[in-house]
Amino acid sequence: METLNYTLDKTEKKSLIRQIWDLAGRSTFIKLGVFIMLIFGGMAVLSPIWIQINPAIYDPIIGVDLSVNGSVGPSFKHPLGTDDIGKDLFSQLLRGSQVAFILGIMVSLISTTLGTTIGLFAGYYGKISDTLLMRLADIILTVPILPLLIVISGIFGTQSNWIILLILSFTFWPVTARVIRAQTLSLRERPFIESAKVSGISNTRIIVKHLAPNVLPIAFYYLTVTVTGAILVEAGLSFLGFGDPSNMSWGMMLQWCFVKGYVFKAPYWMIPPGLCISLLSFSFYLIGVGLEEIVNPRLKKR
Amino acid sequence: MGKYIIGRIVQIIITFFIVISIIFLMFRVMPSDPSSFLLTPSMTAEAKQTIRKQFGLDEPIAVQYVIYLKNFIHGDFGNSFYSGRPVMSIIMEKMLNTIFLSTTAVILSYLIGIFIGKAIAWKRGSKAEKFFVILGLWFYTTFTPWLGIMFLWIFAFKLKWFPLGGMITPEKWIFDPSLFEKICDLGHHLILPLITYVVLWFGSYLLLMRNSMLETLKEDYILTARAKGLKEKVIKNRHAARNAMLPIVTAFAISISFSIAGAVLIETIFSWPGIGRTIVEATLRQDYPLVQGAFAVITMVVLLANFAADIAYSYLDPRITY
Amino acid sequence: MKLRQFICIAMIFAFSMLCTILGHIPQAQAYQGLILPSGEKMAPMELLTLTPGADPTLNQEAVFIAEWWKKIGIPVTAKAMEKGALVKKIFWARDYDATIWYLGGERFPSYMQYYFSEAEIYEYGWNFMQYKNPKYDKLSSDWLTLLDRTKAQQSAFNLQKIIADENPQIPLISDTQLTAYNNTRWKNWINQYGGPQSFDSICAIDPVGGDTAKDILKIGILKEPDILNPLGTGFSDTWTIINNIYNGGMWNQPTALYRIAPGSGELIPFLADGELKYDNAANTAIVKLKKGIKWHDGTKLTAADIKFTIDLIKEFKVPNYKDCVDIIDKIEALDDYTLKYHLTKKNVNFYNKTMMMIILQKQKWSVIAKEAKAKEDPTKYISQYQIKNPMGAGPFKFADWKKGSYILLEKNSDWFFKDYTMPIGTGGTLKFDLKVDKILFKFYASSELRTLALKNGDIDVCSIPIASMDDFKADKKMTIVEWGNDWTDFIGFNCSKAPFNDPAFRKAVHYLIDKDFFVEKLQQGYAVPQHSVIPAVNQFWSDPKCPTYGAGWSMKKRIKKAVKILKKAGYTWESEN
Repeated sequence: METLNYTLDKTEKKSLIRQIWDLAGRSTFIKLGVFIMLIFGGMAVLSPIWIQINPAIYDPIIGVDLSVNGSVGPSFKHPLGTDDIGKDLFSQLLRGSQVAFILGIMVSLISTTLGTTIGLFAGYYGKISDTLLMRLADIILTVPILPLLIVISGIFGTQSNWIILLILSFTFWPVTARVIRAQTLSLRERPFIESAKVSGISNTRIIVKHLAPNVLPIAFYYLTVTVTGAILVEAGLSFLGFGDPSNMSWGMMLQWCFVKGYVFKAPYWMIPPGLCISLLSFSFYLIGVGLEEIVNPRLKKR
Repeated sequence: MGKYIIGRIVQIIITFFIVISIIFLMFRVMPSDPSSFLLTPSMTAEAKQTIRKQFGLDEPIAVQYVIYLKNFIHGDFGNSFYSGRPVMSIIMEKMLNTIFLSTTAVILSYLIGIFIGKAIAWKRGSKAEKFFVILGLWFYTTFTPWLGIMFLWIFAFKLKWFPLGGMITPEKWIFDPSLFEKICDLGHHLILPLITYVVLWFGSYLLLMRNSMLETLKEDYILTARAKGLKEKVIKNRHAARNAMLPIVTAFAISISFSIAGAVLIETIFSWPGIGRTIVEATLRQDYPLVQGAFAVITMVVLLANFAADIAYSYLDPRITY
Repeated sequence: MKLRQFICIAMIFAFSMLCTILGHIPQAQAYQGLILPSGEKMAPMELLTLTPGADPTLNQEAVFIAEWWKKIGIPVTAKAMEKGALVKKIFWARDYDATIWYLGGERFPSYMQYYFSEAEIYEYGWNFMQYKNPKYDKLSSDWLTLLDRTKAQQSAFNLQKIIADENPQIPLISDTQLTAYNNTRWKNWINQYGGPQSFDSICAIDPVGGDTAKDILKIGILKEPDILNPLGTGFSDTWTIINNIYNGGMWNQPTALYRIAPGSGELIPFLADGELKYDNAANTAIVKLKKGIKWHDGTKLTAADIKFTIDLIKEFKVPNYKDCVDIIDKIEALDDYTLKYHLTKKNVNFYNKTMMMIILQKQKWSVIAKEAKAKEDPTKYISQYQIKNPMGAGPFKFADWKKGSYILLEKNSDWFFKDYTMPIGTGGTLKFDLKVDKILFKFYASSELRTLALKNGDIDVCSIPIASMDDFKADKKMTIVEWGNDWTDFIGFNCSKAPFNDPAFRKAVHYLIDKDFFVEKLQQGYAVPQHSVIPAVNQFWSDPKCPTYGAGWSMKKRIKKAVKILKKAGYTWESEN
């Protein structure tokens, strides 16, 4: 993994990213991933529209259908049924897809940006900054993420999605940073960087103009893979009861199902959130693997 | 080599020290206090303060920190706030249960993953390859507790093949069963969490092995072997697979350590009395010494596993020198 | 995939984020922006509660109450916190506006005094609402010295009326506990306070068909006990196990010198022989012990053991039992079976706490005490002492504890009360035939799995969630028992802060709370709305005539009433439709 030495056709006029987009259209993995992702994107968009039908009943947090007694199965009014106090499960599921999308993408954007920047600087400047940053990365990688997050959640006493977002971003950057650094180390020795140095271009400019575009494909790969990690870890936290109680996420739906004792009684309550978590993270990972095949030439077909 | 090992050991010690210091600090800035859990309506204020004093919580943080480090060096993690038992004995007891489950699981999923990964890398581009990659990926990204619940529902609740969780059947153990019966009972409880684990984990090894194998197949010596006219099977097993195993060895050591930490969700679902569940429960009860101890032990295991992986790697791959 | 497609996806994301923001715009309310009599606009407030995992009912109550309060323009949000953080915030930092909390668990509701008295408003005190009312303080401290039970009851009613009128805390609901047992294995369960798993019930049940092979009683519990040391543990789950071994305990365990009859609140002698003789003038009391009670090792339980226990707790200042021994000046063992207590002051705690207290064996504990004295912190040592083999005089002996899996207790065939007919108050009696040979406490990680285990026959009895009611009702093998919980949820206000210091404000928001909604929706009928601070299940002490604050009213009527009260007290609104 240390040198994803992609050798896309550099002679072509098209930019690297454009080439990747073109190749991506041909990958089964990416097509499947994007297809699933779009379904969930649609769900996220549907959420506010669905609530507007009748906010008193369909609001995922406070809406209650008073005509329902106990948890009931799917019906025309409630496509996925209701929970034990008459809240619509479908609207909770839609809200969950919003939370998962926003949280997953934000975490991966922040942590990949952070990781790429740190990796580039550490790799390019080397010496003390490299040692310090990489040891910090090592320390963060050493500590198991889920237990650490549980402890941190306990520390804050109250939980919000913003805190989860920050912590996840902070714990996910080292993986990206390490790989980008390795890549930068090998790029640094290339002739075109050497010549740039000789011609007196500033270091920052070299990093931004010459190094960054070359490591971007790898950053893209980590961008998608981190989304998977973020979604799964957030769901795990919520499931264990350390999620944001003022909102509704898929992990939280499962947790409510668990604390209310409906796990083996109400499949319409238990199956959808878990399936959604798995499918969405699956779709992002598929895209990631598809990208890896394009970016890493050694995985190309014989 | 010797210098490298010494360097790594120093690095491990420093990392370990930083991690336990961070854990210590995290708990002291907590907006909560463990004694709040022992408060009962019949307790007076004076009694509450006595309890705080017992836990050493009335000392300044710096003093608490020095005491904490001093005890740490002597291998004393203190006593659990909740049960008063020495933390070390609780952790050892739970760790053993976790290792029993997760190590078996990692080894099994490793073997399965490698076997399939090797086969599908050879059949690059075929439908079987796509199917297995997608299958492996699907399970790898499946939400752990959900899969666990589904398995419990189908195999334990509906089909009644396996127990609903736990590690042993108390009814059998209270009448002093023979060793064989004990092992059978343990095995019976082990199967379902084990299957869940393996199903969740084999995907990652499968992908790793496949990628590593594909990379190896591009190497010159494979081409040379082909040119020499060696049989495909020989190339696959003798030349390619052996070299492709290198990165997997590292992954194996690391994943053993991570599986111990990642056991939280599986243990919660299957009522397995392991270290992961202990961390969750202890965090909810603000049982600092126990969480600190558990973290220290897990961190140590992860560090040592990484270290062992590095050493193993350098022995296996002659190209790497330190 | 083309760039155009990418732009499409990006636009969809942008749109969905926009929609998210739109979805969070609050609905317009009839009353907006409450303005206090002082002329200031009411600052945003938080209603604190526990996380769904810690207590789903409390969590959901807060969400709905916040929604109702918003209807009259109160800027409130419900905020869930971890239990430890919440306790620290409300009890210690006192930095909150209003919180949901729970109260109860005591047969004699002494919390009526310490929850509301001004003397408890110090840093760690119990009166976290900081409620100040000199008249109430006088009444409540007098109440604690009233030994005449009828007068004491009347006085308790008066106290409850004051609280119900001033509303420093608003009682909400008290849930009905559901316990199911397998009726093909054990019969003759007793349903009383504590449910079918209570001490009395375990001692009285009989195996179905008299089959001796079935004589293991299997009980499923959720939390593994912390420690089998009665001086150290403060957890009710642990007590359900160890009150089968020890006599007495922290909270009115039914196995001490005396026990409290549920309906009438009177003392019934258990280990004691006959009634307690209290000398009003000298402030001393004489208690006689039954003869022939034996510890598990066969030695006699005598007055010396009880004297030893009290001296030990006094000497080591064991925090959990401080209330029990504080009022005792001196204790004498007149002979092997007679005790004389010299009290420092007149206080009903002597009846309700000292008489219910734990009894330890002198022979075993004097060794531990000696070890403890040599230690740096004797109190810590003695309360965290790891007891391998608990020694009591109860109906069961400790047999085995496999950590993480089970605890096994074995019958004590020499139990003094075996085949004893026990009066349980209001004329009823109970025969302790002690047919259970072994009790197996099995630990489960979730109530879900425990319920399934009960259904599968892996355990004989456990409490079940409301969700499983239908299944269990349909199952002929299962009998469901409902019993009232001696705890009630309430909202506590920070009475030192405006506008929560205004009784009119508190009264108005009380009218906005639809307790019947909680009972019907959150608990599906398995709860009781509470109007008094003392749960209604505590029949003797709870005042049935407390004001109900609009039971059965519609939300419209409630809002009207609340607005009327607030207007009268000088509150206004920014906008009013």
